[in-house]
Amino acid sequence: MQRRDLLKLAGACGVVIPPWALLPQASAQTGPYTGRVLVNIHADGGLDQSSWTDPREKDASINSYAAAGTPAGVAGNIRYAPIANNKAFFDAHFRQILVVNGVHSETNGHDEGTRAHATGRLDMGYPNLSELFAFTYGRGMPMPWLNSGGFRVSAGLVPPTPVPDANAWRALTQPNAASANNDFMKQADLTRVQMVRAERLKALEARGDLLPRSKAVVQEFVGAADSRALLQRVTAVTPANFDAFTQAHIGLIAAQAGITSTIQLSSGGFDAHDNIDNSYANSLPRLTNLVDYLWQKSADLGLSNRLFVRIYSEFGRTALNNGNGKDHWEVGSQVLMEANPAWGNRVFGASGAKHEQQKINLATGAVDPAAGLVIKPRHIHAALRKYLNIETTDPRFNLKVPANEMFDFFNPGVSTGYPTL
Amino acid sequence: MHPTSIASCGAGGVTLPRRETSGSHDGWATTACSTAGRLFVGILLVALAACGSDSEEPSASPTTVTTETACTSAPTLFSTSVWPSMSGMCTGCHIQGGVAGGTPLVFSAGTELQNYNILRDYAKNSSSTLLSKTVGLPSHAGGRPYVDTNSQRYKDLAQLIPEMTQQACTTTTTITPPTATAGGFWQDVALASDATVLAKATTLFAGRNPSAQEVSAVSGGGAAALRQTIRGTMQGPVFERFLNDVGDTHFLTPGVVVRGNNMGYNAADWPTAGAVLGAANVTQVDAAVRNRFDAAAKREPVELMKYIVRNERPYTEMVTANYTVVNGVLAEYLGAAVQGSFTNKDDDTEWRQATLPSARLGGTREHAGVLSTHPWLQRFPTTDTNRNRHRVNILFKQFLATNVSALAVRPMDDGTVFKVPTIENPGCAACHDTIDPIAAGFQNWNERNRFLPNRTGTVDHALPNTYRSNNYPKNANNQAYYQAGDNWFRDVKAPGYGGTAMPGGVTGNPTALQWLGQQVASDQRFALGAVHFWFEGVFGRAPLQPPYDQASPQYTGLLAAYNAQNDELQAIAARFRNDRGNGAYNVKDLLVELVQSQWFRAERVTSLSASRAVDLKDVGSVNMLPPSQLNQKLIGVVGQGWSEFDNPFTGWALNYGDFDGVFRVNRAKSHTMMQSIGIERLVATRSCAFTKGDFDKPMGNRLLFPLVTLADTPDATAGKAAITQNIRHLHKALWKEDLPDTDVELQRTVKLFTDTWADRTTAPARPVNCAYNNTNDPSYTGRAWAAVLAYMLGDVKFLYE
Repeated sequence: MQRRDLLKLAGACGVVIPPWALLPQASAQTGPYTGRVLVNIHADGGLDQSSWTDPREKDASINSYAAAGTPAGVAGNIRYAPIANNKAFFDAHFRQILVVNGVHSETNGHDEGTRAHATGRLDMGYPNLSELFAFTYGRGMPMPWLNSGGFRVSAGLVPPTPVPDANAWRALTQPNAASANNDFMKQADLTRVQMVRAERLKALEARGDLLPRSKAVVQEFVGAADSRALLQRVTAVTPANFDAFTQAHIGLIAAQAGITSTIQLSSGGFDAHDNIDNSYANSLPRLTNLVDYLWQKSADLGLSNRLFVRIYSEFGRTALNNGNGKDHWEVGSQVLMEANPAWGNRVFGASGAKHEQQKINLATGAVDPAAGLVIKPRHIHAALRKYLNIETTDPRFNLKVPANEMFDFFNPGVSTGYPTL
Repeated sequence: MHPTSIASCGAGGVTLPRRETSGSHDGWATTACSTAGRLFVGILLVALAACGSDSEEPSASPTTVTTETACTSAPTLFSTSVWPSMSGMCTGCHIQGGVAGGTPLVFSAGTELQNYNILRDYAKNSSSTLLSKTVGLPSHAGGRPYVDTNSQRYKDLAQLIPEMTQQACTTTTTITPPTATAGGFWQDVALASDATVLAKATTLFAGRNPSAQEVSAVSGGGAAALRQTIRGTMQGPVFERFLNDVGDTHFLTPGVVVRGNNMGYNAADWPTAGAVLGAANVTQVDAAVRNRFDAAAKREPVELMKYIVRNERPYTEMVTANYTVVNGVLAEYLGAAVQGSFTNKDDDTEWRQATLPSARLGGTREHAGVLSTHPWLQRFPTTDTNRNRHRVNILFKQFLATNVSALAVRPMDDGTVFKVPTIENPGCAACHDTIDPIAAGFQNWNERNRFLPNRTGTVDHALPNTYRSNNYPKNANNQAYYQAGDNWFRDVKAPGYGGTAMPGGVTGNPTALQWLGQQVASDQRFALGAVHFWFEGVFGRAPLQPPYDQASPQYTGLLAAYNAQNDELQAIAARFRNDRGNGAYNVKDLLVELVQSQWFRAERVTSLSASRAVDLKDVGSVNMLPPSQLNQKLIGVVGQGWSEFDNPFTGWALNYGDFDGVFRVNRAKSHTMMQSIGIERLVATRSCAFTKGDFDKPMGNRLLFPLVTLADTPDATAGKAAITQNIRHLHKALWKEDLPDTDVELQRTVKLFTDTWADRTTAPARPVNCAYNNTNDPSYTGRAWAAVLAYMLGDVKFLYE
């Protein structure tokens, strides 16, 4: 039976096919991973789209910068709120940025929005984009999905590995180290133990009377021991000191060592119900500095051409309230980045004058109330799954985005711009 | 497994069917069971005759019977028209594990011919029902798959039915009962001895090796003694830890939100708890008390489960108990009516039966076992629009061995506009007609886990504001769905369970969840649900699911494995329903059954072809111990634990077990590099201390080194002999294998000791912090033994059970 026939039969019968049977086959990790690295960054709290990539420069009810008469910033084809470090950030990176505005989260709840933007669906049970990517490309690595925030409930494909702190990172690579100078046991004794264990495992593998499950476990032990070699690379690339963005730094080191494919980070402080200007004076630079750091550091480590970065939040925010804060609003923005992409320096999707949802024409990217569709997280995820080559036919994880709802976000010839700015 | 167990004699009813292979394992397997349990009447009669109260012993002599049996061919109309439409529309539900898996019509994942016989058997007794159900009459949870009586599919089926029922299919068979070791699925599998089963069970439930008395009792006492001895290990802190692990695995209690986020306990419902819940204008307790309250509140369903198990109460109370359990701090702040008195109300491990008040409404809130506990409701949440469907999904998984959500992946036709798709669109209704009525059982609990939080007029209810709002869409007559006095939605199917209406209907029932729990406990699938629930605790993995890809070269083997396991689990479920001296639905009896099962006992195979490797892929316990149980095993078998594993949800334990019940909700099931590193850390940090701790004890009290002293060195004959004998002891104590001195594995361990000792003069590359040094271990034997321990503790035979 052909794969497509199996899927057809499965679909007809309404059955669940195990994911290993359907997802792109991850090759065994015989060496360090050198492919694309997905970096998901969750701007925690509900990032105000108007303080970010969907500015409103004339409506004083929406922004204090509009009230002050400050126009939106411009970097290439991208417009941004003229606050915090946005100018430096967008000036430096606009060529590698695709802004998706007018993304309707279908919820105003933090947990639900976090889940929807991480997985593509408001419903429970779908895999985080990080998890799907890690399952496809990182399976078998020590830390396929490094996670330090955002949505991290596993759909059962691969578990998230918390980004270890500096001490734990060193302990992982040197389990016998009691301190920087001392060991717990004589290393030569432990090395001998490992050698004898390897001999024993080899002998066990050769036995003809092991039940398959026992044999599989023995092979797991062998594989785990074999992949220890990957950690030698970790030791080689681990610096004496870690940078201020320690978790991002450790993630990049893990990518450099070839032991991870996916890094999930979080940057908080965006749930500004009161005095948003004060809050964002800290939280927005923290986010842009983090992203800037990722690109700078990855370039230093020779990784920047492998990075794909996505910045998202659980939803957007309303106009200013009485406390000069902003409340939850379903419509927000996402930012996608890659090194020198053909699809950079573009804006796809839009929201209305007060950030209302807008229907966007799939073919042209223009606002189209008649024939367009409102962009939702699932549309972005469907496009990302395709672009990142992590599409799955597992019916459990079907985003339910039919072909006639597939936005062509990555087509360089299609843009929306800022029709309502 | 032979058909006596499949026929479920003790249950007095029809069990879920086994799936049938296209080939035969032995003279019995292919004649085992049918969809309605009536397919092979003659065989069944023989089987029933052989079926004692709970015996699986076959009858002694061959029997010749003429039986009505499966047809060997199907009418053309079935193959060309009827089955192609049915296999696409009906098998999503009418299949084992499907929502209609408990109905009399359950198709097989087997061949077309097998499914023909299933359909034929059903049609012989229920032809009119078969036909009418396809067009939704008189009622059909799957909607109207054939739309109406004018459809060609309907007409084809109507034409086929008399053709099927008139077809004569009989055969004469001579049945030779199997012996305990003959043929079948288990033909070349060697099962562990009673002594080994005892050792494994003792490790699992008591975290130690069996005592001499326990070994002696089992060696001479047979099956009854083994059963009783294993039962005797089910007490004490290690067993409690085992129960905690099982409960945490299923109920995810570490992640329970106790306060805030619109999900925790609400001070308006719990006025006596204002001081721990941050209520306004109430003096708050100190952090220590608040932390105790939080910790206790999270554990309620697990402690209730433990209470039921510990006190050998029927497991049905998991969903029917009209009570809960509380400890002292919970009782105080929740205002619980506690049965009896606490011995020490400050002892947070003392839990007592109690009921909880509904302080805001007066009286007592409804209790339905774990289902009505705050942690269960909070960890399996709902929303205004989800309407408790997720909770039903979990309920089916945890207690009925049924995956309802599998139906949600049915291909759907969204091409037509429906007012209420979940009712009107057959593609949606197929699932929702089953789920939604049951979801009404949770009608009194809203999305914030509060009991009847809203009042409209004089009616207390849990309906969301959105549904009651004037902005909510109207029905076909442009009238609001919501009507004053309602406590359930009118734009879904009416409340009920299967074909039974729920008392109170849409206007509500303050004990709806209690009613639902009773329905679940009475469901034929409940006993198997319990077996699946505890299987995961004993085996560290879920039971097998049936394969679907009939074209796969592995299909036959996977199906054989599924059937073999399902047969055994069904038989255990049948016995679980009955009182075997400790009351019906007794969990300790169930655990004994599981560790005595062939699936658990399977130890080796005499030969393994490629096809047998598929058959036997999952056979055997081979369960990676989670950090908590591994730590208990270290304490019991080695004498000390590892402090890094004291809290199984953080640090190295989290890395190893990959479970915290919050974000990491699936336990590690395989040994990857993360586990490998964790164990390297464990043996590096603790092997010296373990060794010295044991040698420091009087020789007779030692767990690890009772036959050797530090003065015994391998360069002396007596020393070498003592070392060898002690290594033999270690193989038995740590790896559960009794080997002769000449065994290659034993000799490998001896060589590790001697090589390490021989290298004693080589200085370490860096200073070491080992508990032994040249002063207290001048001959280096302590450190050589530490190396042996590092080797043996890091082995698959120690880390897996």
